[in-house]
Amino acid sequence: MYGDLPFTGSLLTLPLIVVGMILSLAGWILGRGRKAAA
Amino acid sequence: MSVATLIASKDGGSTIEATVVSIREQSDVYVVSDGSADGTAQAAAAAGARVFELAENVGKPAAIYRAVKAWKLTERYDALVILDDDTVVAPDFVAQALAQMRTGVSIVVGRTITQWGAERRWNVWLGSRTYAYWRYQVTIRRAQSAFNILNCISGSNSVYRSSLLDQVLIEETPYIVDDTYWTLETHRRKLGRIVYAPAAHAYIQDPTSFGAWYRQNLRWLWGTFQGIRGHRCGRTRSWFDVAYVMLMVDWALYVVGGPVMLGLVAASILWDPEWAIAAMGVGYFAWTIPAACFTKKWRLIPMTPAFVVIDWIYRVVFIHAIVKAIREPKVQSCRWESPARY
Repeated sequence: MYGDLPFTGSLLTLPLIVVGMILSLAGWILGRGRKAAA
Repeated sequence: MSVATLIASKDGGSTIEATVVSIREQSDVYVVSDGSADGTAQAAAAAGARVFELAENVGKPAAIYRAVKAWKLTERYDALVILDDDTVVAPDFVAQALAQMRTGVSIVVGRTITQWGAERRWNVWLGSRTYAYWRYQVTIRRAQSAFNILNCISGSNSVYRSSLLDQVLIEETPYIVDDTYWTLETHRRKLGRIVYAPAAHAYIQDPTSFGAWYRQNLRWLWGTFQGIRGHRCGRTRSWFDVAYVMLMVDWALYVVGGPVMLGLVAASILWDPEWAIAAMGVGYFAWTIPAACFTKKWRLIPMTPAFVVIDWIYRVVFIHAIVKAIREPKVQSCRWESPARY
């Protein structure tokens, strides 16, 4: 875990971190796809 | 959907113009000068904002409350963007945020990005924030948004439905962080979803010195703990509370676990110190290297050792904030000094 913000987590919030990373990655890929299509 | 932007500013004369200019083509802009003595009102008006001046400093939530009432903003607009006076938004910020303001959504939180120019390229406090925002937003915040369990929004760059503000805006919030109060009220009273809009980019100013960094983190954490206590977070049967308990246990492990591990390493009970230090280094670099790639800030990689040190100092802030929240669980007035602007 890295602090410097009062909202981060690591061990017990690992499922949220993984879900967040998957959603972020999906968003990034979709965004690139949209840009390419445009 | 009709939208207005409201900015409360206390002595933001050096930054308010850039803030107003960045959003004036996207919505009507209103600025409330909170007892400023540096020409904030004139600068905001010259940039194209409608300005309301308060003779004395009343604090951000009170200034926002008075401006909303004076201009009847929640009656005239469907939603309000509330920005800090040093936030600069992307040209499509409002469009991207409104795209997420679907039925049932009450608050849309934009993506927070540190203004980290070349002139401060080796400032570790700005580097630390750049990294922390990136990591937090691609992990926890994104998932919290998907499950409607966001425990914290960005007061510097969020969009609120007017019908929500009519219910949660009060002149003096009981916590030192006003948006913590709004967030928790929204969850507790089931006033709508809070979602994150990663495509709505907002560039904010962060502390550039140790003192300013410490004071801001202390205020944020103090407000967070005041909210946990005041809104009894983790003590009601809901998914929001379950998630909050997990987060709190995580914080406890973070604050206590680090020193315990260091003690074990120091005593060489479990591992060789070299192995433990190497493992810790790998753990940090595993995050800072992708952060450097995605933010295109390569300086984050050589700065990694500084982040390890800052992480240790942050544990002290945590404990300081808990003590402060126990001693001062509520505030009478929500006033504070912003970090120096740049």
